[in-house]
Amino acid sequence: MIWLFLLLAQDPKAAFDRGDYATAVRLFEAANQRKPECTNSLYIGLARYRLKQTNEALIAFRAALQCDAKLVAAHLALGDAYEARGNDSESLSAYLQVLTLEPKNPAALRAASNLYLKAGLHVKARPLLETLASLAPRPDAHADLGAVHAASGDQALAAEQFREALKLDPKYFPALTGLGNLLARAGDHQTAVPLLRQAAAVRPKAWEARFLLGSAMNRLDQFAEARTELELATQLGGANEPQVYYQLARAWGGLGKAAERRAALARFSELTKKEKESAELQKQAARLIDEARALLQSGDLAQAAQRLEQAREARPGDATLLFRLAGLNFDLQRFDVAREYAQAAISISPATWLYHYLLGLVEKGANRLNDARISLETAVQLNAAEAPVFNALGEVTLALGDRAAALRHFEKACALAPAEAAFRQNLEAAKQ
Amino acid sequence: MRYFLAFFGLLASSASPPPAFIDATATSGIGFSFSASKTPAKYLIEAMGGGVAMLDADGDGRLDLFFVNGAALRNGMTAADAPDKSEARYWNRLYRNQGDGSFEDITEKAGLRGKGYGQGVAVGDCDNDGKADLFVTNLGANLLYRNQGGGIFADITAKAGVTGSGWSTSAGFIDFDRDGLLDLFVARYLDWDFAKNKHCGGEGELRAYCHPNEFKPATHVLYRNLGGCRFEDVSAKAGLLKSPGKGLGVAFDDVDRDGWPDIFVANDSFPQQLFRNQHDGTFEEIALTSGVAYDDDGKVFAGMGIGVADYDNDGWPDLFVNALANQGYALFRNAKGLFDYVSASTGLATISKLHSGWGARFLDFDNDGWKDIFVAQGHVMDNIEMTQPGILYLETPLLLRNVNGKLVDVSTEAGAPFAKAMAGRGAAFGDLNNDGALDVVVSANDGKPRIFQNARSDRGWLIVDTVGTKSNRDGIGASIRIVGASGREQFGFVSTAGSYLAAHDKRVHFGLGSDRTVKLMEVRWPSGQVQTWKDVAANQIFIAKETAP
Repeated sequence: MIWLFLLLAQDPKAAFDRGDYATAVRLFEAANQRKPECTNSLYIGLARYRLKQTNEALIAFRAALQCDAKLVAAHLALGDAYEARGNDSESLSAYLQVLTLEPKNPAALRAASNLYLKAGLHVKARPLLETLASLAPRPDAHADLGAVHAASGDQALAAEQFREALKLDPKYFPALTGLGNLLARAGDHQTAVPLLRQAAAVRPKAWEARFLLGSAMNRLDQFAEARTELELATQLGGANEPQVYYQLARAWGGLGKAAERRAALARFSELTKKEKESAELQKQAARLIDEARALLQSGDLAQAAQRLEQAREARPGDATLLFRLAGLNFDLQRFDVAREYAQAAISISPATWLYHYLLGLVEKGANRLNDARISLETAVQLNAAEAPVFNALGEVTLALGDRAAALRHFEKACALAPAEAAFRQNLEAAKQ
Repeated sequence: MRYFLAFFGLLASSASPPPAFIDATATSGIGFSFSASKTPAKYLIEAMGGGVAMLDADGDGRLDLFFVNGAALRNGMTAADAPDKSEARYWNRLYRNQGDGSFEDITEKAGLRGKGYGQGVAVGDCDNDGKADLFVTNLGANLLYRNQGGGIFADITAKAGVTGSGWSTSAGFIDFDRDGLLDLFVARYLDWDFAKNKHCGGEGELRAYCHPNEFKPATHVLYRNLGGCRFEDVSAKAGLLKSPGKGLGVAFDDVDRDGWPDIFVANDSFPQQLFRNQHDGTFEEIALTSGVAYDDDGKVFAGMGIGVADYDNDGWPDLFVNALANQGYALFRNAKGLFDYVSASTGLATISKLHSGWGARFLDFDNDGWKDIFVAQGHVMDNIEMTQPGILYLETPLLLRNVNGKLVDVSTEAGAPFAKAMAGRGAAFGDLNNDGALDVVVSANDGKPRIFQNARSDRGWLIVDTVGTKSNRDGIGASIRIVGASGREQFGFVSTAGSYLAAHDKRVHFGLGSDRTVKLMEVRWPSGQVQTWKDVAANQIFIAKETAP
């Protein structure tokens, strides 16, 4: 009992603040058992995130939001964690939730606009950036606004925004390259080239500045310098960028080096082909998914699953696709395959209750009741408003002999869906 | 005060040059309207519009106008369904130029109603009888009409062997093997039919025409003329099947000045193509190595209309290809066979950034001796404003004046027709009233065409009408070099192809500025013969007839 006393005596927040995240997790979990509070889950998530336990962290953030949907810090944390693992759609969705609660939240405006820009959705990024820029002078917002205007063809506004960014920070790299590139394309090399040179000086190891400078030099017929800059760009990380080789070919051509020009064009073609093949693969995946949908509607589950499996080769990181595959294989009672897909979906998007629910059903179908219980409990933790999850959890706990827990879950299911006769029957049966 | 304003009003009007173009549509009597037959299914072909040709159909020395039309479409069409052209509103139309600015509809008499959903038109004298024959491209079977004289045409498609298949767009006649017979090149767009149509964009009003990336490319077709307008498909033999594209525009010129015509194809969202004539009946696709396949960033763009001409008067034909909004039009300067992308340095990139171009051509509209550019414009998506505010579906045309190699947008001062927005598509160029100033006719998608009549008459000009004897009768493929009295050299190439879905006045127009004579004119015929004329007077249509060496 001494350990319990010691545990109670410790302050979980203090443990978190001093960076002892493992202890913080333990203490917040204990505190939560004593007196559940929404912020406890948030801190558990933050501590787990810092311990690099991202899946558990995401589940904790979602649990915090389950407890209090207006917990802005949890939405932000969820967005950050998803962004860090490359799940942009979940991340964006979390930041947009923040903006519905706090339309002028700078962190969410910054993060959501970044994600929109990354996806090429400049029209959507623009109002967020305008709000961000209006809150306080910051070079990043102005530079991004410049990029948005440049992409939509409004070069005067773009230049204005880039200049605004440079007023705030004369060495702000995105503004230097943005304005330099804009002016170089408009033929104002006299202003553009010094900006691009400055960008290269600010970030000597950034291939983008070298590429833009090399391209500008090509336009000025200064092929020797263009070649130097473009070759540097390939060494600094631009080696997989086809446009670098396209410009390099131009430089070699200007220098009269036919063989080098041919080699650069060959590399350009190779990289362009790769890009095209990748895009083609994505299109093929979309086609296969459409076919699978049609097959599903006609009741041919096996063929539908086959199409989705083919599509998966092109989209290994598509959680929705993995979830669909898991569902189909579950329907086909291929539990081992279904489990694999469900787990893969969860590894990409761990805080999606539906994936855990499906995994729970799969484990239940495979008669792995303890695993089923864990998954279904996680699903409930992420979303406590779904009656079928509670019903399934009731069935599993009853089968495991935990009648008290089963009764609790069936009652919850009935409360959430009073008209559902099956849930009521399960409750009555459990009572007998 | 009234006099004060009048005085300044007078000053203002005398300071700015008079508008070059007037809208001659209303007085022309042309009642044609392109019927796209738009459906909720958003078949891609509905967005493409149709072509227009300027040709002397009846041999009276005046250019007549031929318009290609769509056909009836409906939701749920299958690959086997043929668009219905039976209603008069879907017919192609031929209008006879009556010489007074008015035109008479002679479609039925001419036998040119057409079949199928029309796209482009090519004009050339395929049997060397001195009369302009007509080729119409369609979605599905194409049509070749032999001109029987007096503006009467006969459908000789089956006999000629040029029916083709798939989605044909721009086409053109060129004597690629220089045997004295005009051959026929047909660009094809996509591997698409009604059954392959997809749902793209959102639901309802937000449904969009699919991007060409949704469909596979198609191979282009080359027909060799065996004589008497009978053709053989030599696409495979010529090496074209190795290089499929998404062709919308076609133009010919002798790009490397080796005396053999080469072929440019403007491809939509696909690398542009340059087929170099290898003198043995085959072509090599060299767009990448010659620098015209991509834009300045090595990116593909939506090539639609195409123009080839020597805009900088250095003797090497340059290339213009327009694109979709946010891409910028492409101008490639020919540096002795290798091309430089000069859209930025000429100002074109900035001017064209938000425009979407279709029919386009180099033309010296102000007769100053430098070729300018006209572009018919309008976005492909009729609901683009809903998703991209700032981009317009209906656009005013663009007129770019060539000022010392820089392009200046002079559209707003070029006359009233440049103030009216339209869904511009095909555009044909030529001198409709033989006054030495080039006119333009633009077809509109799902709408009426517009005639841009060039009213400039203050500078010298020369129109060269080539007549081949050993070469093909039209002299198509002949290269012309002139040296004006001032010493300025200009270069031209005889071709009715170029722009988008269109066919042009085959006569070659030169603006001469203040020159009143051309001290030397040299024609390099497809036969190989080079013929010269000295001290040719300005302001005339000069018939250059090929004589035996």
